[in-house]
Amino acid sequence: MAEKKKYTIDPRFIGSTVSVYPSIDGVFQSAQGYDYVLKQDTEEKVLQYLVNIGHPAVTVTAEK
Amino acid sequence: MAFTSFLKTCVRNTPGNQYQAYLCPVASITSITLTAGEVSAVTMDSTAKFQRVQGKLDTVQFTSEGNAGNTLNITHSLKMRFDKMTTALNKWFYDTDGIADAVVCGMVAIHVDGNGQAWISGISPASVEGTLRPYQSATINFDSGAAPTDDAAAQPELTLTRTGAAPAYPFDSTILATITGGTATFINWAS
Repeated sequence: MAEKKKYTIDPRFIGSTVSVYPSIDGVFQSAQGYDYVLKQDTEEKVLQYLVNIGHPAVTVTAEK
Repeated sequence: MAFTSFLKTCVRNTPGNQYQAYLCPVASITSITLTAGEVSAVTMDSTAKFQRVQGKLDTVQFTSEGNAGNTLNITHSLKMRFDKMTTALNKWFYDTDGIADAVVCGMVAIHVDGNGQAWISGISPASVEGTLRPYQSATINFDSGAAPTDDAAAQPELTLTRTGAAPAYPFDSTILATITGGTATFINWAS
């Protein structure tokens, strides 16, 4: 059975606006950023992106 | 949001800034997070970090001029002087990856004011400015002076400027403690 990921959002960041500026090796992939307001039901792909960039608001654990 | 009150608190104010500021190319930043108007997180691209810049004491000056009418525009200026021109400073200004190169795509600055509050300028939520408006202008001035008695001469001066619609944002107390305490993970403390 595939592992399911469980995302946990640090409560102090709920309601915060996270502005992300996607870049690769110091080169921007877009001329503008994107804003996400962190909520308990924030989309999984956004949470995974925040995990990927090392954002302290989100931690992920594997659930079997 | 409804218009609200602003009530004063009677606290002492100390003008000026710490002599150490922090700069990085805007593309080094992957996110900033605002919680109740304060920066609560900064993440960086890969191993990129803000670099420390140490100017001469009492020469670091941040100015913000906001003009609001049908539009809002805010011009920021971060100015600092250095003790003397050196090979290292000359390279830091003009070599590849120096200030002159970094401002082409733009820079983001952090300064710590005389009251001990740290501020970030040159980056903002997308909803505020729509596009990135970092510091994209640097003025590097130097006047050798004419005689040893020219006390204020021969001090290189750097001025970064930007115009956008976003103010400088204060850091929350948690991150502020890491900046002033020398442990912020997004700043290069090693060199």
